[in-house]
Amino acid sequence: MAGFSLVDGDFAARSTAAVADAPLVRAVRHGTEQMSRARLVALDRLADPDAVRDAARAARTRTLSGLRDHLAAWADAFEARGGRVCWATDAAQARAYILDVVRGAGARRVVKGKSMATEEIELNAALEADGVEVMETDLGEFIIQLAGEPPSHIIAPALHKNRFDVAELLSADAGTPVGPEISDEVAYARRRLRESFLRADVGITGVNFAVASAGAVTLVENEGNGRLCTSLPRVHIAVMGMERVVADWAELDLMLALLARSASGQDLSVYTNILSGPRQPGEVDGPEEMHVVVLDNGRSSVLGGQFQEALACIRCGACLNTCPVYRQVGGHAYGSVYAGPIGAVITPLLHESQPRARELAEASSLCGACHDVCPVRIPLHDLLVRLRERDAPRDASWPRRAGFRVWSALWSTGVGYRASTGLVRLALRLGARMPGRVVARLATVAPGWLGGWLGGRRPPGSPGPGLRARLRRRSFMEESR
Amino acid sequence: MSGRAEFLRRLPAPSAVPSLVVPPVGYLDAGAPIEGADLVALFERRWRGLGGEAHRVTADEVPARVAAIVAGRSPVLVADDPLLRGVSGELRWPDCGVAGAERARVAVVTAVAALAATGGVVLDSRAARGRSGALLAPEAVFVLPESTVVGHLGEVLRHTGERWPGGMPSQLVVVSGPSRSADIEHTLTRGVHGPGEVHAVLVR
Repeated sequence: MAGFSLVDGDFAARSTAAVADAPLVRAVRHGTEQMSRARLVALDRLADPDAVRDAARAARTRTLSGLRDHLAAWADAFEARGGRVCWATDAAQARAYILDVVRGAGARRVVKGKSMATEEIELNAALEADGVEVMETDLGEFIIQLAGEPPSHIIAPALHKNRFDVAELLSADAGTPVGPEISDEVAYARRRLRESFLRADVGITGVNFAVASAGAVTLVENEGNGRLCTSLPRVHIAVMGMERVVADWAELDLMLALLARSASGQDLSVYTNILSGPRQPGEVDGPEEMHVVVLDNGRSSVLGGQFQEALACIRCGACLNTCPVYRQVGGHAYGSVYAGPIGAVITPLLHESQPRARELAEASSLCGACHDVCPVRIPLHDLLVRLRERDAPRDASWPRRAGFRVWSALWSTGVGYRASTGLVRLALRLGARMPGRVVARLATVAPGWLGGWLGGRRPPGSPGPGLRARLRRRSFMEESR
Repeated sequence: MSGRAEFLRRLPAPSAVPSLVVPPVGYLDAGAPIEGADLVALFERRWRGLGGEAHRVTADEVPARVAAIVAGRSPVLVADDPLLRGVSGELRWPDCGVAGAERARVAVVTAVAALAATGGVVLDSRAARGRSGALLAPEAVFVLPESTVVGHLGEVLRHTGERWPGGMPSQLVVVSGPSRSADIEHTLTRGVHGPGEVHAVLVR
């Protein structure tokens, strides 16, 4: 796959293009709705899902607070079992280490399991430039590799494609028609990729969690490609963001109780792989070498600061599925490896040097739906506000400052709040009687930023009675019953 | 290449990081309570719910039941394991190696445990099944004693020391039903890379 530039163009242009793409909008809506519904059903099967989420949040916070010691303990235990660790400060160091291992193994063929961390370090392009054949083996990743696109969802990379898109891509790969029946498409991918698994010298995967007390890493998946990548090739390389550590088995148990339920609505993924080093004495198969690349790439500057909670993320994708912005525009509009609310938070944090990454913090209505569904309760909307505050220009004009002061004063008292919303309701009622033309004209004559703000919006029409009025009426009716 | 010491030095010392105080909740409550439940029956129900087949037999019935399950398929891979004594197949794991496992139409191996709450079987990578013994064939049969069925994954994870006193196997995998994908149009399809048909044979 060609290296994907993280922040080309701007979000407004990319999202405008996305919402005009009807098949994409349909596919994204279908996928996100299905996953959101499945999550609700799965969490309901827990005796007390809220308590489990509270415990998970506490555990993530505790472990991140002691990350330095947990990472050291994990590495000691992993190395004692024959594993090798690369400490990569940035993407370039991670790529260099992996290229070294691949060259050292004399490898020409690499199979990959789905991994966001390898997307983050743009590994495929580096391997291919070195003459190595790279095959993505997760079905969704395989599809987008053929399309030359980056993933559009953390757990469903080809969410934006339909069966006809897939048939076109697979037919081009096969040189003969494949699909559009989904079962035929899957059967083709199984045959095609099985050859790759059997011939590959190196398997590269991500990591869901590293267990500090045991020196193990876990990888969850549904297809079996993760099992194949970590079982057949002579060398296994796993790449993990340094925050993927849990303290012990009990904490892993807790995270696994939430991960698949929040992601796809499964109690557990079909395969939960727990890998403790390369082939051990007495075992008959498995890799002779196992390497884990621990990736910093900007994370250490987030740790210990006001955005640390963003590192608690377990990459389930629930916040994408519920986000009213993501549900409209899909993942590619974000222009980042990580899309959706969590992507809007961590992209600007991990790419401090790229000014264009900052605008993603604006790609949110701050409705807080992401916080509601997050299994570890990351206050994503608060973090987005903090990012906006951090990056806000300090040179606002005096009318703008004055405007916000007045607004703040009004909404600080009940009387002021009711008076101002009453005025707005009146204005909206008047506006609803005016022809659309006049409203659009008003927007163009409004000064500066107000005109820009109005220009991108449509008036909501005449409002019905407000919440307070409705509540008053309801309590009156209940009393008189 | 950045060294370990240099890498870890950039991370804040544990005390320097503010920590949240949230009341602790017992990890064991992570799954629905299944006290007093018939674990084997619960496992059967959940495993079937995931798309697997479940069978309950006595030790003597194992060879005949497995033969009935794999009837008409060939070649059959059978792992070298005391629990599978008498089970016949053309390929013997681990002697047949990965090449044999790839040729197999169906693989018969043992499992070390089963999870009732979520419906899954636990495999380790010891020689009797390895990592690939029951991975490459399109169908897999897992044979295990009923006594190894536990409630939750946590009951396996929290007792790794007792279960594997000589150290963890290099791989432990929980198999929760047939291999599946929903990557195309969110439509569930079975048997993508791993076995698309799975049987659990529970031995009394």
